[in-house]
Amino acid sequence: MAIVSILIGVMIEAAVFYRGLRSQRKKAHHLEGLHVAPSARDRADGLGRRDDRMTPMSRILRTLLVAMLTGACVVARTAHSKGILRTLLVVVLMGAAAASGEASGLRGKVTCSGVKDNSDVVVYLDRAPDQPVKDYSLPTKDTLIDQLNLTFVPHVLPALKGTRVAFPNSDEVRHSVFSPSKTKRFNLGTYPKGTIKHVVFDQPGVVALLCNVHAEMSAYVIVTETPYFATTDKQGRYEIGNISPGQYLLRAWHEKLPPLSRKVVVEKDGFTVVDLEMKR
Amino acid sequence: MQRLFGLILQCFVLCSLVWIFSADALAIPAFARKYATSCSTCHVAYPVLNAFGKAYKASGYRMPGGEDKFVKVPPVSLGAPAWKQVFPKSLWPSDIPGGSVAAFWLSSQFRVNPSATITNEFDGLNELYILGAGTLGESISFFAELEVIDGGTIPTGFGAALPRAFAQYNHPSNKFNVTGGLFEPRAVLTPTRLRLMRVSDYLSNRYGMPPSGNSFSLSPNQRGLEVWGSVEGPANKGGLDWFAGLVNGRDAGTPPGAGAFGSTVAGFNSRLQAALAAAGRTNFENNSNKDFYLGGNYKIGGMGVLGGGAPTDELQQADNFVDNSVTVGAFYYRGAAPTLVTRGSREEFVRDGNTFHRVGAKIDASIGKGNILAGVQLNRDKIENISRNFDEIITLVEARYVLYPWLIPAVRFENLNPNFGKAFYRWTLHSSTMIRANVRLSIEGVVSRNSKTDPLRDFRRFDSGNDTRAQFRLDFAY
Repeated sequence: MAIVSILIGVMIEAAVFYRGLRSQRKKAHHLEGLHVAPSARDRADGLGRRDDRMTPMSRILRTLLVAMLTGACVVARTAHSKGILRTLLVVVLMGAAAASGEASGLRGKVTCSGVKDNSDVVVYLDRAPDQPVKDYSLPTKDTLIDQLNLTFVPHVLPALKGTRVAFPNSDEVRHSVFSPSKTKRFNLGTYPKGTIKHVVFDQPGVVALLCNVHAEMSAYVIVTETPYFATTDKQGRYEIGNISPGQYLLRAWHEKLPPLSRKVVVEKDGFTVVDLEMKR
Repeated sequence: MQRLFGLILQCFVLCSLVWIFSADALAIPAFARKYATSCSTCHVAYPVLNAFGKAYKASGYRMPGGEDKFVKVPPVSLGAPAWKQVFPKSLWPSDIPGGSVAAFWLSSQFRVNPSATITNEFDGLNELYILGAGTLGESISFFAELEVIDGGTIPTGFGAALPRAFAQYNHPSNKFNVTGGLFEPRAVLTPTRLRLMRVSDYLSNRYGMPPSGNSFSLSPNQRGLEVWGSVEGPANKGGLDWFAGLVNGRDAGTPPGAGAFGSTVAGFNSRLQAALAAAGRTNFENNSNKDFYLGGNYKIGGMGVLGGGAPTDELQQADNFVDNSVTVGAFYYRGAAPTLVTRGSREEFVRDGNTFHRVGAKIDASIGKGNILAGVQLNRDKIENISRNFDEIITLVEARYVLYPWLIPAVRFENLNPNFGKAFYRWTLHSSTMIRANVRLSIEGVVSRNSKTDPLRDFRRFDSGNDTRAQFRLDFAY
């Protein structure tokens, strides 16, 4: 029974993974194996967000939880004894506890004045000044900033310090990506369609990206100290899940507005709501 | 009876023209196109600015709360903003307007003047102005006005054909800005270019000093540099506007009205003009001295001078002429003008022999739908080697009331009191009917205490005489 349960759990996990992969392929079907940073709309749809931020241990726990719940359901179909019902109750309670642990996080709305809409604000958590430095697991796959239709996609990308970002060229014309920012100066040179170049962003800060061939192109990588970040949708909504409880410095960044920061305490259970207002 | 019939027929034709024009009034000027908004966003009745329009202008022709949200025709990028980080190894990033910056302003008039030889007349096309304005990047803006037809004729002089052409830098805070080129100085009681009553100009802005031969007038334009800025008041209401300028000064020939002061003044002006011609005059400057001016206005209450309190989510189209506030202001202008100076027994032409001063103070109150402006201005000329001053005190009171957003009656009273001749006053009555946001039909009458000896009788250059008269005018902008 246990083996059947685990197998079902693994199958569900695989299905979830395949769904995420398919949505990424829709964005860049020609770039197999690369991790596409979700757009604001994707995030609003709930695609790829929580999976992206989950550590390997979280994934294993989730697989086990799914397996246990699935097993409990199978058992329930055939159970008549009190002992089995008790077991089922324990399993459900364990699942609920695990689920409530995952829901610890921040959500809210950022209102921007003087700009087109409330999108492309990066909301992220930095280590509070009195908190020790922690090491976080890096994404196992490259994060992607594509060059498509003479624009960088996405326009802003939050990334954990140490993340490797891939810069493919999906246009018919050549591009030349470089950054003049002190946080991470680099120049990838001019390269044609089909070429993919990589940069590791190893210092926290804001990195502006430009193309030396097309002066109007620009993008930003916001390199963070923690994996707790989100980019707002047009309504300004954001949600950062799976945050380890504790004190943090909440920051908000927009390319045309002065940055914001404030101390926040992330509770053990549930989401803390923090609304922000950014203006000139 | 035949005359009355003629008048009725002419009025009918004029009204028909209004109807035809307004029915086809699809196009709107450059800024309206850029934001896809109506003229009424910024104007009470164009070209009179409302509080938001003034804040828009003070922000360098940009939306006070930020451009991005409102721009419907995106600019063409000449470099992403991040290129600033590359400077000076690259050009500073900027952009150019994505749409046409050209706009047109036409007017047609029908005049009735019982004392004139021809008592009534159509002038067909009185004005055809091409206006070009826009922004370049985050800090630079420009404004140009080309007068193709002015006063029913084609301007022949460079200055007349191009009365305004300036570029402007706005600091991001808008506290310190620079305008350079050809512009109307802020050192006036109220700007000529933005007046509601189009038939008659302000005496304070246009009247010279006939006995000194000084044709200087504060409007319509100056060549030079102007620095200026705005700071909002407490709670983002009202605030301070300051300005200072360094300009050429103007030489517009014989001052209007000079002929009415008798043979002495007329002879003096004739000799001065001859001496100027002999010494060589230029289109741009008549002496090496630069005129300068400074001043400021402080607004109490109402919308902030930089748009504080204005809606940030959407542009307001209705009732935006209400701005309960009081503005007090003052300016000082000092210049030098050419004149004839008596040295011993000789009369010599001296390019800067006349040092003149213009000082003005005003109070401008907006209460509900009404607005009243009261101002006083002292004009003083001091000619070298002459002990006396030539002074004029000009008082101005102008009031308007927005009866309906499309119907705006107004009245103006002006008095000119010189220390070298008879005092003079005139009333101007006006009513503007906004047939559309960009089509205005105005009726204006001038009632003046006039006589053949009044100095203003010759003041014909800008308003075709000051006899008691009435004028129907159609303005059309697109």
